[in-house]
This record gives sequence, C-alpha cells and structure tokens, in this order.
Amino acid sequence: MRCDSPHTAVRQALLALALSGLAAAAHAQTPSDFPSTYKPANGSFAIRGATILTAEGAQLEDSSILVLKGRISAIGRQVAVPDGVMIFDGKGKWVTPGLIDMHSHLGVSSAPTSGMNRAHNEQSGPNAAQVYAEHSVRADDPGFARARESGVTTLQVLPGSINVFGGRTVVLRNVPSVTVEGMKYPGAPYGLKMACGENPARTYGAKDGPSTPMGDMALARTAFLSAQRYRTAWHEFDAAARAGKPVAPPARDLQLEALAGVLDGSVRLQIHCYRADQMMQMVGLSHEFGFKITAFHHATDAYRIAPLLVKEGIGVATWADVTGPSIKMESWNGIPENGAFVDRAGGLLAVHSDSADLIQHLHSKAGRLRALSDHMGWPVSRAQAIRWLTLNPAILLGIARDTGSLAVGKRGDVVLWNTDPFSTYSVAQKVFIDGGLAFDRDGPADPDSDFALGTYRRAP
Amino acid sequence: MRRVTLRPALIAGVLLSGIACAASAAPVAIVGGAIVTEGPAGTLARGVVVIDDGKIIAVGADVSPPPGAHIIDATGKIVTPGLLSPASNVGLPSNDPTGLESQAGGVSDRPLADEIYRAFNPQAPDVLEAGVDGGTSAILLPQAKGGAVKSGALFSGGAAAVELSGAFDFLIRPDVARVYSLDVAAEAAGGLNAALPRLARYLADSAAAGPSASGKPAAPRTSDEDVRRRILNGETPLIVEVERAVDILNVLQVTRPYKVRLILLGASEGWRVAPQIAAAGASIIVNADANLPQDFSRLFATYQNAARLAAAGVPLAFMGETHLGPMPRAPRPPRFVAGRAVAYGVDHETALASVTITPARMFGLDGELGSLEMGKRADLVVWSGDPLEVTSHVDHLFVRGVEPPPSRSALLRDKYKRLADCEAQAAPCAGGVWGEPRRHSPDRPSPPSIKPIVEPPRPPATRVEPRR
Repeated sequence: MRCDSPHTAVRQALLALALSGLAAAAHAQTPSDFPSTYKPANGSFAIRGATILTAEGAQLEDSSILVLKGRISAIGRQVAVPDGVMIFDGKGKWVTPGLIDMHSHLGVSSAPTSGMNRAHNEQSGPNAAQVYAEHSVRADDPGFARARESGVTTLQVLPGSINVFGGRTVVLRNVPSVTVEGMKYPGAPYGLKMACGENPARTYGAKDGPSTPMGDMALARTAFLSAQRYRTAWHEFDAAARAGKPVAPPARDLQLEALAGVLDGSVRLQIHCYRADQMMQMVGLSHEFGFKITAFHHATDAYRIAPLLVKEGIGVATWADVTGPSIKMESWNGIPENGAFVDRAGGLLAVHSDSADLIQHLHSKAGRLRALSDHMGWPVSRAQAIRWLTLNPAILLGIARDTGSLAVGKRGDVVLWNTDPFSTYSVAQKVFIDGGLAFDRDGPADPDSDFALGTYRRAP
Repeated sequence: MRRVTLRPALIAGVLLSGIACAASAAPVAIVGGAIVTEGPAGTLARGVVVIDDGKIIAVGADVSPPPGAHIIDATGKIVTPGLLSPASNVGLPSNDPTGLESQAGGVSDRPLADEIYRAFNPQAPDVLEAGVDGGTSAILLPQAKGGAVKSGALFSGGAAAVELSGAFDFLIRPDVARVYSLDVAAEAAGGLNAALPRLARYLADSAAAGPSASGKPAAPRTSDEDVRRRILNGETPLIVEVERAVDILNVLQVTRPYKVRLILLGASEGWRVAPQIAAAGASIIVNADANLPQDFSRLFATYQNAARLAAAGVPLAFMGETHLGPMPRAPRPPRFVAGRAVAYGVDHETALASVTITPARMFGLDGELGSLEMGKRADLVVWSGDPLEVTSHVDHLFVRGVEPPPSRSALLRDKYKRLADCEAQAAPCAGGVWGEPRRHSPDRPSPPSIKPIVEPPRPPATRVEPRR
C-alpha cells in the first residue's frame, strides 16, 4: 500500500464495502441459467528468485511463489517446494497476478470482424437488458489466445454501448475452450451494461428511441420504475409462498429481471459514460432508485470529479494515456493522466482495454500511466500500480476473494514477465491459470487456436 | 514538473505573429546530452546542438555555444530528431469529433484536384498533443470514402508533409506521395479482380501514351500527366494500402516495369513475402501491433512481422496510434508502437530510425528533416530517457526552432491537479468546479455576506413573439 496517499483510509473502507457486496445473494427470481462448466487445471509449480508484485501492497525482491493443485500455497523469501513440483527460475524476472481486463469485447466482436462475428450490439431496441453477452461470445475468437499471451487470465466481456441498457456482461476465465460455458467464471456475479450519452441517441435518434441524453435518462427511469413494481411483485410472492399461501408466481420477464437484479445488488451495474455531468446524473439516478453503480467505464472526465466518485464508492475503468478529442465529442476533455487522478483521490481504478489490440499491452499502458503520474508529482509505486490491472478489477467484478492478487488460498493465476512489466519492452514469458501453464513463450510454437491453425507462425 | 519551460519571448512570438512561426531571436544551444543524430555522425555520448533561425547550425561533441545563446542543459538526457508520423490524420476533419463521420479524402484519377493540406487545421488540439510524444511533423494521408468510391476513383489522393507547431505556415511540402488503397480501388472498380488492372492501365497509358506520344497539347490534363510522370520516374512515391501477401506480390508485379517508388501501407502479411519486397526496393509503413486476423486479408498477421521485414532489409516505418491501437491514419506518433516492436524483435536502433530518418527518406524529405545535421530544420526533442520507453517524457521539443505552446490536455491536467492538491490539503480552493461549496480553512473568516444590488429600473420591454 502506498504510504503517501491522503486517502488510504477511504480506500480501505471502499475496499471493504466492495468485498461485502459479495455476500448479496442472488435473488430467488434469478436462476442460474447456463451454468459454468469451467474445469480448473489445478496444476502445481513454483517460481524462484523473482521480483514479485503481489497486488496486496508488496514488492518482494528475490522471492518465490508456490502454487499447489491450482491454489497459491506460499510466497516469500524462503519457500519449501515439495518434490515433483516443477520449478521455474525467476532470476531477473518479474511475477504478477494474472491480469484482469474489466472491459473487453473479445468473443462478442470476434476476429475476423465480419458478419455475425460483430455481435456485440443488439439493435432491436434501446433497452436490451434481457440479453446476455455470453450468447454472442464466439469461443473460437483468436483474440482470447493473444490476450492470454500478454498475461490476461480473466476478463469481463460486455455488450456494446449503443443501448441505454446493453445487456448482461459475462466474466470469463481466459482458457482455451470450445464452449462459452467452459470459460465462464464460476460464481462471478453478472453485470449489466448501461450507456449514457451519444451512442444510444445516435443509434435510435432517427428511429423510435431516445434522440437526446434527456431521452436516454427518461427511458432509464421508466425502466427502473417498472423494475421496482416487478421486484415488489416477486417479494409479495415470496412472502406469500413462505406463509404457505397457494399463490402463483408472477410471470418471469428477462428484461425486468436484470434491472431488478441491479436494484437488489445481485447484478453489478457497469456504465459506459464519458462526461462528468452525465456521470453525476447517473449518480442521481442511482440515488433516486437506491441502487449502486459499480463502475463507470471509459469515463474520460473522471479526473474532473474524482473526489465525488470516491465519495459514492464508484470505480473507474478507463484507458491509460489517451487524449479525448479524437475519440468523440463527449470525450473532448480526455487527458492522458485521467486515471492518475482517480488513484490519487483514493478511488478504485481499473485500466481497461476495450480493444483486441490494447488488451495485449495493458501492462505497458499501465506503466505509461504510472510514469505520467510520477511526472506530475504524484509518484505511484509499482506495488500500487499493479492493482490497476489485477486487484481493483477483481474487486469491481466481485471475484477478489478468489483471484486478483497473490495471496495464499487464491487461484494460481500468475504471470512471469521477462522484465519490469511496466516497461515498453516487457513480454509475458509464462502465464499460469489455476496453476496450469496456459502460455509458454519458451515452449514449442504451437498454433494457438483452431482458427489460427495453418496461419500463425511464432518466431523459432 | 511541467513538460516545457517556455521562454516568454518564444510564446509571444508564436502567439502574436499568428501566421508566421517566429524563429527565436537568439540561438539556442542544447548542451551535455547524448545526441542521436540519425545522420552520418551517429550517436554522440555527449554533445551540443545549436539552433538558430529555425535551422540546426551546429552539431558535435566539441561545439561551443555561440555567445548570447540560450543554453538548455541536457546532461543525462537524450536528444533526437523530432518524430515524423508517416501516416497521419492529425489536424484533419476526419479526426475532429464533430466530423468523425466525414473524412478528408481525395477523389479521382485527377490527383492534383485534391490538396490534403487544405483540410489541415494547425491549431486543432490533436496537433499539439502529438508533441507530448515527440511528434514534430506528419505525413497527412487522405482516406477515400463514400463519394470517392462511387465516383470510381483510382487514387485516394495526394499526401502532404506538415509541421506540428501550431503555426499557420505549417506546410513542409504539399505533395509527397499518391495514395492508392486496394480496398477502396476494389470497391470503386467493382471487385478486387478489376482494381489492380486499372492501376496497371493507368501506369501503362501514361508510359505509352503521354501528351507527347499523342501529339496533342493535352492542356487540361497537363498537371495530371505531370503527376503520372513523377510517379513513374519515382519522384513522387506511390503508397499502396494492402494487407494480403498475394496482393502484395500482385502490386509488386504491376509496378515492376517502372521506376515507381513503392511504399506499402499496412502489409500485415508482409513477412510472408519479405524477400520479394526487399528485392523490389519497396518500403513499408507497418501496423506493428496487428497480430490478429481482423479480416480475411490478414490471416497471417503476427507481432513478428516488423522484425522479419527489418531482417530482410525492408525500410520500416510505423503507423501511429489511436485510443484503440494503431490505425493506417492516426493522430499520435508511433513512439510506443516502435518500442513494442523492439519487444518483439526489431532492434532499438532500427526502431528509432523508423520514427525519424527512415520515413523522411521514404518521402524524400531527408534533405530537410529526420536527422540532426547542419542546415536541416530545427525539429528536435530532448527526452528524459529512452524515447521508446513509456517511462520517458519530452523535456523540450522544438519545431522549426520554436517550442510550441503546451497542449490543451496539459492545461486541463494542470488545472485539475491544482484543485486536487488543494482539496487534499483542505486549503481554500479558488474556482470550485463541482457544484458544491469549497472548503475554507478554519482560521480564515468566512467571506462577508454581500448585500443584494438593487436592480436599476429597466426600460419597458417591447413585446416579442416567443420563438417556436
């Protein structure tokens, strides 16, 4: 933990708050459809003599990590490695937790991006809360393997941003799998994607949908009013059923179910929003209906309202080192240092990609943000900056008890880097998921996905 | 702290002169830094660069600053030529948020009809943003869309070299290349099969049936014929936007009979035919970050592309970056793209040349820029460290001898940093922006309440119909 932050206590409190959200049980009306069939590798290995960034606040020099049967078993200077466990030399190398991308469209906007491979925006109407991103995921997207080669072990895949309610997100383990269910993160809560601002208005302005931000907002409020009634109907049914009265359940409505999940806290709200004023209006919406916003995504104006976002306990998932004007009008005020303001204010910052290319160098992007922060007189330790790619997104996705840092008992999601991961020149040497070697730059140059068979050749 | 420390005289020069980019009144000497000249002098471990009147007047290890020169101490720092983006849309309407749908693009078989620099706004915010990553000049590439395709255009238009100073006299050279995009041409011609034959005919017609061969004066097309002549004899490079290996071979075949100076743009599958590209003497502006089969013309894309092309001896430059990664036309210089190419096998020296002297040579601009040599434009950067490393920053940047004003994003950063710092100290903050009363320090009395001002009587209003 960085010591110079004026908001350490705030950060701790925020962390505790976010973790406590895990306890919120899924409401009875949300059955576990499409259950995960993910099978962890449950492998064992050790790395010796490396510099380790745990994301728990420490940078450990010349240290070792041991993973046994998929779970982290020990970290420190002296670690006894049982016989038969493969040991890798970490001398001169760096170890971090597996990276977590809060904002990806891998699978839903799959390479090659033609035809139904571009399946992230459901255009049948501005409220698509009923859709599940996982039903658009193409498990064969070669982008998953490329992201894995760059240390990404877990990612949240979201629907696109043309809708006010874009649909449910899905958290995936970044393992090769022929089915989507084989990648689904067991027990990870669902998210719901919302978007404010230009995109919905631009998409539906000429049709029947909202054509302005005020139209977006009215649509959102109307939808949450319906969700309140829906939720009440289910609560009344639950109470009656518990009292032994013979009552029929209300009809299930997938759209209202997702929104009711947001009201309950069982579905995490992930809002695409650029402008400071519009983010604060979304905060107003959350106060009106009493729900929690998990994170603003992109949020290029976050630096202008960082203390307000911290006060609300809202995380920020954004790019590192982008300027706004060339993205779109609503990002006009974007500055490269945006995320540094969020971190400085004590907020939960996740450096995201939103891109099949950028997801492959999240580490050097975070390195750039760290350097920009240093340069403006706000030094950030590596031990802190690594959280932008690991623990912070894990907290915001509700999976921090299980991954996101190198702590005993957590999943063995580990990356071995050739050098300081915050350098331009760093590449992931080995990537472990649940203790299994998921990528090995030193290994044989196998084709990395069925799609890539016969095409991709790694350098000998 | 701040990126640039400007001499007031320089700021005034830039701001007041308006049109002409004022050269500094006195010479500037940058002393003590490692100097990567990218010229015959190579890299000097410690040296001096002197600039005056917009030009470099001396470079060397044993140069003494002239009397009266403004001295910049670059001890422990690295001095390089300014970065040249070889494929940019900086300052163009296509990069303006209100005009993202529109494109500054060219039109026709009559390539002189379009002058891309006429669409350039030297004071668009992204122009000075490029300086944050050391960009001092850019090649503006037109992008043909919509109307151009419908009109059956062959070329996407001409490319221009501009400086990134914010000055109105930004033009370095108006016509540094012609752009032929295989995708656009295929759409215009009704198919990929018809696209390259049209280019072949264009080149052949010109060679066989120019104005002199026909015996006619060909008055209206004189300038077009001049362009053809310059493409055919290699004076004006031809940029061909192409990805697939087999398409690259086809392009090489079509241009082989002529002295066309070929620059391939994209070339994701270039490594499959690297020896042929090298043998044809073509250069490449590569998307070094493309390793995904984003379409079926890039099935063999890999991070090793740039390194393999470099190993084959193909001169390399890199596409610039957008917020979602490199694009064939992007506003930011490819500083970190080049750095990542090093991570995947390109050697550092080649990578640094690929953002300076190599693209300058590609476009025939190496007589003016791309290296630190006497007589060249004073476009240079003083870096805090390795220019390709994310931890390094621009300490000083000169475009034609002048340090441009700070970028808009730097001004926004500084404004909000002041607010954040005073918030953290619980000190009084001027100019609260969050719609909440700002905090006052406890020992300071709250401001006296102000009596409401009695409004002066107004003249009787004339009745105006409400607007609908």
